[in-house]
Amino acid sequence: MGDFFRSVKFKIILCILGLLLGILLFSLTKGGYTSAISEAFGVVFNPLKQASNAVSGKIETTIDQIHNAQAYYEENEALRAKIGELNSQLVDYHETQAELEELRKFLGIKEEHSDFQLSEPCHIISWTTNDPARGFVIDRGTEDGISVNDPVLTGEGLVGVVVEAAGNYSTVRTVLSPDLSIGALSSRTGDTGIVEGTLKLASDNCTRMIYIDKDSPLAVGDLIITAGGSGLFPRGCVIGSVASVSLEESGLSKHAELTPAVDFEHLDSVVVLIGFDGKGDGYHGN
Amino acid sequence: MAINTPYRSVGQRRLYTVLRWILYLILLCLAYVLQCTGIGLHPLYVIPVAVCIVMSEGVLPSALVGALCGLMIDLSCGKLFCSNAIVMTCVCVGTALLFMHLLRHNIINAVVVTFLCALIQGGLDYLFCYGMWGYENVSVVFTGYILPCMLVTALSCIPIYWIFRKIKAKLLPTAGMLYSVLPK
Repeated sequence: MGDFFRSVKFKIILCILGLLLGILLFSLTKGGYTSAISEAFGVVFNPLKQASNAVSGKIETTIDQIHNAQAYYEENEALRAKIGELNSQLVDYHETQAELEELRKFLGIKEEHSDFQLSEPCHIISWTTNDPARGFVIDRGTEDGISVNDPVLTGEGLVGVVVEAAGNYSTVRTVLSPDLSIGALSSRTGDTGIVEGTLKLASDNCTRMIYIDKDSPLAVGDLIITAGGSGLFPRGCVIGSVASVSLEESGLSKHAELTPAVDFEHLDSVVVLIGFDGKGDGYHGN
Repeated sequence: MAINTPYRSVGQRRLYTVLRWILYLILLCLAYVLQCTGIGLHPLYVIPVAVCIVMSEGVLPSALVGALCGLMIDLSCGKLFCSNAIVMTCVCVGTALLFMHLLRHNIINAVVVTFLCALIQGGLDYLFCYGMWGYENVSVVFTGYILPCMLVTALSCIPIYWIFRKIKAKLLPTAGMLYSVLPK
């Protein structure tokens, strides 16, 4: 035994222990940062540990899948149903939101004109084929209280008038049509005229106001509204704004090109004015 | 002149006739719906469909097809009800007689006759709905709407003729035969 403690091997072991103690004390002073030796160990063994963990995880997952397959299948089906339900709710939400936006616009009409009796919002079923004046068919008719010659509006302004009414659909003639004449006036100057489209302007989504007094101060940008004298249209509905003013060839009056307030390219739904104060007064047409 | 009838029996002929007319009506309805879809310039799909139908049918069925086609045009184009029905009835009867006695059944004749039908329909529509009322710039309607519509309608006959050729190959084997030698 004494020989062991006097042997070279014991001295080497002591040196190793001393080295380790020294590294330990050194590590204590690092304050959490790794020493060079730890780092060297990490560089060599970390990739191996990573691969080993990956393989182990894969095996665990496979065993888990096999063991709990039925439970996962049922959970998957339940989650799919939930996603489907949420998707349909999302669609309903978007549709409701769009409908709310439309109704807000029509509420604005009602707030501005308390005497208006409006129909339910009407959706456009189809556009009249190859019609320069962009007539269209809506999905409500006489069963909803709509009758021929009822004005058709949106939140932006006047669209046109009902020219044909069946039980559950109606045909609308727009303000672009040369077959529709509307008594109108400028909201700024009070100058009166007749809004009546032309085929050429209709193809450019514009209409025209004629029989304007030749001394009228009407200017570009002026708002044109319905005059309301005929009993067909209420007073104050916006038709459009003046795009240009020029003198007629005869020199006796002016005419103005109007940009309609309603965007016919993107028109989706309208509302029909079933009743208003003064409806039918002064109208003797067919 | 003895002709071997392509039908196995009278019953088969009747069955093929019923099936054929059901397909004709479905295609006519489909053409009408397509014609009403969307905004902007549309060909009148019902015209080439009507032409392709009446090419191989008798005068009376052609008249009925023409009337139906005309009513569809009136509804989709917002014209006076039955105005185009009268026009298309006459046009389809004329077309049926042409193909019965004069013209061969081929795609060129179908396209040309479709164009002529569209020309007659469009021309009368222009005359009675726009020309005679003294609208300003009325020529815009003809050059911007009616004439392009006629051209596109005639071109749309090409795929429609191909569809009808397939139908008639199966359900009307006598299509294209000389009228005088058709089995009664």
